[in-house]
Amino acid sequence: MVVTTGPLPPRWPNSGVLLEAKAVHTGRSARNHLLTLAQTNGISKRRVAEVIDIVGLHEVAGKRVGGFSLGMGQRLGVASALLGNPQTVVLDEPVNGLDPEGVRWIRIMLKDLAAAGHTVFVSSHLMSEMAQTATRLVVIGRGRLIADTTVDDFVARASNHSVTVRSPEAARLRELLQGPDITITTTTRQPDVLDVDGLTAEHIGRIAWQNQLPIFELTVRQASLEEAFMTLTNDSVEYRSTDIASAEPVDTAVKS
Amino acid sequence: MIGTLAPISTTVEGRARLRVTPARVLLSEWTKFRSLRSSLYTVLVAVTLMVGIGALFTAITVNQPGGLEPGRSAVSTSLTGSFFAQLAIGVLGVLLITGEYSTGMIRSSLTVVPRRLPMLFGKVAVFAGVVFPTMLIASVTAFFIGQAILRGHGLGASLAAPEALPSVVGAALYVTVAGMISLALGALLRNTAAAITTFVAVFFVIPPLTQLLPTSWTEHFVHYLPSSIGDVLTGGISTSANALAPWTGFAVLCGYAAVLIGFAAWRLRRGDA
Repeated sequence: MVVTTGPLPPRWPNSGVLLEAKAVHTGRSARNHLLTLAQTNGISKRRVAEVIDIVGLHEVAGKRVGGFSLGMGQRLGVASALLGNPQTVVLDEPVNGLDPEGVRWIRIMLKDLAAAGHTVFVSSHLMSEMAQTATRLVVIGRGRLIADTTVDDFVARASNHSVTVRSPEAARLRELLQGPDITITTTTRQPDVLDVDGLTAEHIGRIAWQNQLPIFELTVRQASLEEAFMTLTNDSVEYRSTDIASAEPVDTAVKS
Repeated sequence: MIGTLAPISTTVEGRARLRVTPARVLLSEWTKFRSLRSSLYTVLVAVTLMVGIGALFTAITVNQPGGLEPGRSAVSTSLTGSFFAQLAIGVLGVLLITGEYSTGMIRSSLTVVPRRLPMLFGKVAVFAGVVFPTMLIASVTAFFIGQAILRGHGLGASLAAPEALPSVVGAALYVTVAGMISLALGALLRNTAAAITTFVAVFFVIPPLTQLLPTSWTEHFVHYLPSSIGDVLTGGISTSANALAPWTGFAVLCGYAAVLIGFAAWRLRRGDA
């Protein structure tokens, strides 16, 4: 679960929810669908037209929902969540099944909503997407709160800040760098690349220069949100895929 | 078009106004009803059956050598169409609620009306409010067309005849309450096929089957069947000694509807949607 927060004006006490974009009668037009939901709470036709404009469904508002694409259905779901102009908007997996343009649209819309003072709750398994959208992160694994922090802090917590060094003299450099609390790993596939944990890039660069060893690459490794997520939820994964060496973690296998 | 983002409005609908009231739910249910093509078509089919079958059946019977069927009056013959109209209205009642379950709309409906029951009662009210006036117009039309045909054979009754007006109104009431029973079945079973099958079984299949049983058995319950009540309400001359008086029958029919709606409300309230 990822949260985007903006400044909170003390109005809009209610929340708007998108749990399932498919909870729509397929024989009804988008406009009439929203109108039936709006009328139960005394929300005006004008507001219905407004949310249709916000989600960009104006041209298809009179068409039957049965013919909508996944992306249009998702927009309709977001529109229904916005009907009451709620302080808190809760969206469950809003980017699922969207095309790249739709994903970008959701991202911009979420930020606009936050900028307009709404609190936006988004639950998602798409880490890369959340890294770009969210300001605050709540990670829950097996019902336990794993993290409640900012995205940057979350990533920093999980990263080991190791430094990747590529040098034709990797073996010699390795001997020079060795010391207590320092781990150096290398793979047989790339013997010229060292992964150094426990030293700063500045320190490694200076040692190499003092010993006149050529260096082709010196990179401080920063974990991605996805890696950070995998590291921190490792113990709380409900359905773990069996370990395949060096296999990319499969997103959908993670229940958080 | 898609992909452009209109500026997000910060205008606020007054907080106090965002509240669910019975009148608002009723308005919403009316919008639901009128915004589906199937509602309009089914009502049109029901009107056509009420008027068309009534005229056709009247024209056919009156030209038979024996004249009117036994147990049928001039009034009830012209209202024969109500027997067929109730099928269309029954389907309408079922679809009104099972359509929400099959499409998933029910989850949206209950999200905006979290107390749930106003949604069901709103549906029943809108249904009755649309069906009764429409069926009343249809039964009045069927009556006049039928009597015009019968008058050519010296059999026509006028609306001033003592049993005429109650029967014309009774036909509309019968079809409406039968539809409410079907709506309740739909809400209870939550499945279109199951609800329509049950409705057809009770209203169309069981009545002729009772004729296969010995009269000594059936005379105790056959007059409580909804279709028997319908026969009496639409002006039929009952041959059964136990037949309920028209308005007693109507009260029993309303009782069936009330019990079924009660069960549906109980299930809606208790169970997951």
